[in-house]
Amino acid sequence: MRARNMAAMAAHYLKTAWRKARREKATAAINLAGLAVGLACVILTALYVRHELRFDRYHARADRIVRLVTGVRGGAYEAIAKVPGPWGLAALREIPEIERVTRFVLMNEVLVGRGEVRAYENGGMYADASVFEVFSFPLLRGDPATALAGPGTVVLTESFARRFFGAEDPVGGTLTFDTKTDYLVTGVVRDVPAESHFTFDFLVSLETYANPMRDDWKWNQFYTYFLLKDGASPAAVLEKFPDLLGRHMAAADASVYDVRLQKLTDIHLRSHLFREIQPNSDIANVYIFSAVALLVLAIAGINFMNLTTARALARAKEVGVRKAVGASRRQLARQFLGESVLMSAVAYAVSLGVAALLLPAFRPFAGRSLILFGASQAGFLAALAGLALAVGFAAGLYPAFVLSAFQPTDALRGQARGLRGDALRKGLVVFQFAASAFLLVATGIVRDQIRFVQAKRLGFDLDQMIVVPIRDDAMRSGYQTAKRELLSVPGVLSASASGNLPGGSDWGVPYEAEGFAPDRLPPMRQLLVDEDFVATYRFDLAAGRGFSRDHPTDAASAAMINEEAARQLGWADPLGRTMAVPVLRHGPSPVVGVIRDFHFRSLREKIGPIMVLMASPEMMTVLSLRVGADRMAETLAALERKWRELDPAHPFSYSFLDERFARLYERERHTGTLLLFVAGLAVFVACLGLFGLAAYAAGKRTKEIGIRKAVGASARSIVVLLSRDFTRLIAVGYLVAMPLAFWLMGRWLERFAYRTSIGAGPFLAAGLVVIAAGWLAVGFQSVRAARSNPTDALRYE
Amino acid sequence: MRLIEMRGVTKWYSSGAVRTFVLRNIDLDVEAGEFLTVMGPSGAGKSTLLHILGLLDSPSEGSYRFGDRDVLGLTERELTEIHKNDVGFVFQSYHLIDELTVFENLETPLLYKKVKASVRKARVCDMLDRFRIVGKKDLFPNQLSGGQQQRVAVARAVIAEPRLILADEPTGNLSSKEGAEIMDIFRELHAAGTTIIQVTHSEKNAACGTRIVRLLDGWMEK
Repeated sequence: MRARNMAAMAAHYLKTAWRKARREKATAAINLAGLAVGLACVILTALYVRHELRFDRYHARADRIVRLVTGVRGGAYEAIAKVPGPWGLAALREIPEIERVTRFVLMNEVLVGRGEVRAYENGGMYADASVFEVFSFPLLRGDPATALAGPGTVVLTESFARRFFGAEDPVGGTLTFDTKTDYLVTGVVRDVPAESHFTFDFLVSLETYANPMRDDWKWNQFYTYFLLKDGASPAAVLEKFPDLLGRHMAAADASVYDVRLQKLTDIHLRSHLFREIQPNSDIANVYIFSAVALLVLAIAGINFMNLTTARALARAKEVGVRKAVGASRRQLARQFLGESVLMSAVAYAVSLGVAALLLPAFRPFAGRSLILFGASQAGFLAALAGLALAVGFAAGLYPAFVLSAFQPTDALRGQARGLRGDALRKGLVVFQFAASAFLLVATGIVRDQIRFVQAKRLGFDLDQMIVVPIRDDAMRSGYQTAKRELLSVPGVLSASASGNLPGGSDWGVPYEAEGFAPDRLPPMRQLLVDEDFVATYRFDLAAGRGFSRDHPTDAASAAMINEEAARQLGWADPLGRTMAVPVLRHGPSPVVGVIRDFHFRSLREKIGPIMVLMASPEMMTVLSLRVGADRMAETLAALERKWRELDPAHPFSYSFLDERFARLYERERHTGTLLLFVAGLAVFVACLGLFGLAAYAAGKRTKEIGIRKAVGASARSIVVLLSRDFTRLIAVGYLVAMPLAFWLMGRWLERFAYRTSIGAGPFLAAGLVVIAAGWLAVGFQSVRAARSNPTDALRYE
Repeated sequence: MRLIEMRGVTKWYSSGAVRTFVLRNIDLDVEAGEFLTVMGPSGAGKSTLLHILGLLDSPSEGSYRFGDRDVLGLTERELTEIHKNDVGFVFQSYHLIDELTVFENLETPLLYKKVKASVRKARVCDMLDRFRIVGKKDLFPNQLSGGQQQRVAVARAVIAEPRLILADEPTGNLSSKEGAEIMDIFRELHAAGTTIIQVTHSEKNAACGTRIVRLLDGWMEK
């Protein structure tokens, strides 16, 4: 009985709401669109945040897996993500809480071939046979226990296997690496999920890894993961490490290390160590975008609430009538609340469509594997539906309260006095535009910083520089010939070979310096180059000279340093001081030149001390070619032809140095694009709300406008009259947001050692955008009102 | 039996220090079954008196007994009960809900009274029949003439079988023929025993009633 009455009531309300919406299509559409776009924005952001938070959680034993990393006291870096190879094995033997260990070593880019199919591949890693016991990488073919047990074995991911084997069964087949070594395929593993802090295309058994340093206790080259025993605490494992190192190393060596364990699930967002296995993300992004999503949701919710409240006047009569025929306040409130929840449900359905449409544009910078619909998403979508309904409920509370409180006599006369919400509504508009302006300024400053970073003089010239890896050992030892040959190609202006490059691949090996005890030395990085490096890269010299063929001793006993190195070593006149790097077979070497400070890392980092040495041929890994700006395509084609003569086994491959540097700031670029995306939507939603409010305001003043026109006001003066109030609100919102944006973005910029100053540009641009967008929204309504026929307006009363 | 007993009812609005009096010291008794007409020029306070009688508005001073209870100072919930069960309103501009059909408009008071669906349907059909608007039941108010709309409004006012009908210039917006039809309906209702209070400018309409009181500048003429 009761239930049936409720159903009848619900049907009655539904009918009213639906017919109302059909009658007032524009208002309903604006209301719906605003909420739907806002929700779409939240859905996409939530998708991204959820993606970030789920990294590595798919491993069945994720909660028991930790990574061994180590801080290095007095080292060139604070802490490094890899440790020496023997550490993990010794820990497994000597620390009872550890159940399994598995280690990875990154593989250099390698030419993988099978018959005619050949390609450079950089997705390879060496891995211990235990990898399948620690991580949940399911083998589709092969035996996880033995797949990587012997040397010369390789396990392929499904899609990698398909590229080389097509539909054939790869297991038992062979792949040829660098045209000489055959590896036996012993398994196929399912593709590594994108939500992993490292991925790979193929795993080669670690036994295959034949580096002479592999058993060295001080050579940090192994990413080492432990599976802890059930219930074992990482802290208990950690406290056994100093003893363990002490048993195997000299006390002085062991004391340098500050061993740490990282939870597997923390790595992606919270680990920012030197030499991460793959670039990580940052928990700050998760916070930033959660906050931004909430902001947009607030803007959309406010819109909804403002428009519904504004429309309350139009519904005053209905309220009066319903009260006169016996509706209680509670019934009325329930009706209006129900309407707004219903509206939010529809908006959610629409927003799913909008989000699905926007998703492809969103993926490149938020995560390529993001999906909206799917079995795994059911809970997520349901949670968001709950959120949408909650927003509808919250946004409907105020209008429901206002509407149901109307005095029936006033309401019937069409002059609802309950509408004192004007001040609140204005405050909310101010908030919306403050939030929009803030997001715009933030976007502008992020872009400024990216531009600043890319335009900053690095201390060398990276335009028109082509980088070509040396693949072949014969070419390596005869690199001088290769250089000469490539220089003969028209368009190549200069060429240099080196062991590493500016941009993050610098080394940090132990060195000695005249007058310094080993423990007092500042951390020092190394670049390994040839005689033409300084000229090819166009470094500026502060003192002395570059390496030269005229000084044959340069090859093993000469050094160059940068100004920062001279400063930290305290050498006012560094020329002639001696340094040595025994590992690189450089005995006491006088400093022959000082290079003006240059950015050999990303601009997030301060320029540190670095020394430049000549490398022996077997250390050369890459050729840098400066080419002429015009006829680039021809030069590249000619280079490729020449390359085929020099190294027929390895196809020509190259990259541009400026693009390699741009990649250092990929994360910031993505943040910037994402922000722009969200800020754009926020402004759109806020303007939609303003558009609706302006229509309401113009409607409320119909009579006033009629009278003004009847006594001779021009259309222009009416537009000004109607726009003035809103302009003031937008201006106030803008002014509120600016100091906040200035302060918060200042904090963000502090992450960069080299940063742009916050200029007026982003602030002016944001101001222009919000004012212009606001005027557009208000102006449309004002012009319509101003051009109306005054007699229509007056007859309306 | 006495249905209404008003003593010393006064209504004013304050704006700043100035009090604008709309009703002054009204004493009014209405017996059950009366058909009372309130007359007077514009601005005399007729509508305000009617709103106070219908408990849509409250007086600034005075006492008001409806049935056998003092109704000033009732809670909103108790007022809602009276609107639901005891009073029906008819307005000059009909005040139907634009989004509802004739049938649904009639059904609304019964929904608020939580009347069972089968009874609801029967009562609405009965009203449609009685007020000769069966053919209009699926139309919306803006598809009806003024006279038809007002007939729906009267039907809505009486569907919950209230003790009192309050009509504020029910024929004000109607042609004389339509107006006469509405007054015929009121006469029938009165004959059936419903108490009616109407506000009107028309002497002809007033003649349908059993008693006339006149208002001038908020005073009731004795």
